[in-house]
Amino acid sequence: MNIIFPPDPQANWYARTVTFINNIYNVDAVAVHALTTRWTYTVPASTNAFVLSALATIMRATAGDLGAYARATISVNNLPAAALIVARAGLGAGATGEKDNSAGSAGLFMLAADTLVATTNDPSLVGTAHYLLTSKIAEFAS
Amino acid sequence: MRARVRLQHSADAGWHIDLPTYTMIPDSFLPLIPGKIHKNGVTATTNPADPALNAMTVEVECPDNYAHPVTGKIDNPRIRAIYNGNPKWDRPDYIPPD
Repeated sequence: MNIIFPPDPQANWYARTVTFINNIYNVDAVAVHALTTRWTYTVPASTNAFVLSALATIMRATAGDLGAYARATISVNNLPAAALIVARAGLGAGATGEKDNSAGSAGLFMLAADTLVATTNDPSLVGTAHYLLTSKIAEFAS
Repeated sequence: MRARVRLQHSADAGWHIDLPTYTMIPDSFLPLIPGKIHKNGVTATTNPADPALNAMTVEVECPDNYAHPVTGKIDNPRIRAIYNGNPKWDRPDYIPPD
């Protein structure tokens, strides 16, 4: 009996090449700060991308001032349109341990030049917060 | 690739890096100025036009193919090629942060 091994895999018309891109900003005890863009992802030319997951989490590590607020936001900017919020977590008061999280509820298709942006903002006068802003993206040729 | 770069400020993006794709490295803001700049950001009470912020830098992780093969610095022609046709990034006058 002859055993014939198949040849090495060959490129086929249905061959697909996907690059996975992970973004994360995961930091404890971030002091009060102005609006800051923690990470961005821009879809390259001749490429499409699919956002597989997006998660924004925020928790007060040490108390903020009365009436304080802090936010963690992931949004997508489609040229030339304005931003669409994908996930946003926010705190309205300043107590330690207060937390909020928000996950993108559906897959998001992005075309070349679209941008996924993660920002944090804590304009309180005192206090710190923990932030987790993460996403997983599948990028493929268009 | 990892690089230490200057920040910019705008109303919609706040403090950000003028790059298409990047991730800020935690605890890497410099210089540290009490009341103005801490290791993860700028206080909201600080005026973005404050001259003390001109030298502010942060460490970022960005795609390896942004780097010039010889100098290792973030390279305008490479970014223009990757984002060919993008009105924001495919511009001869775009100067990547250093």
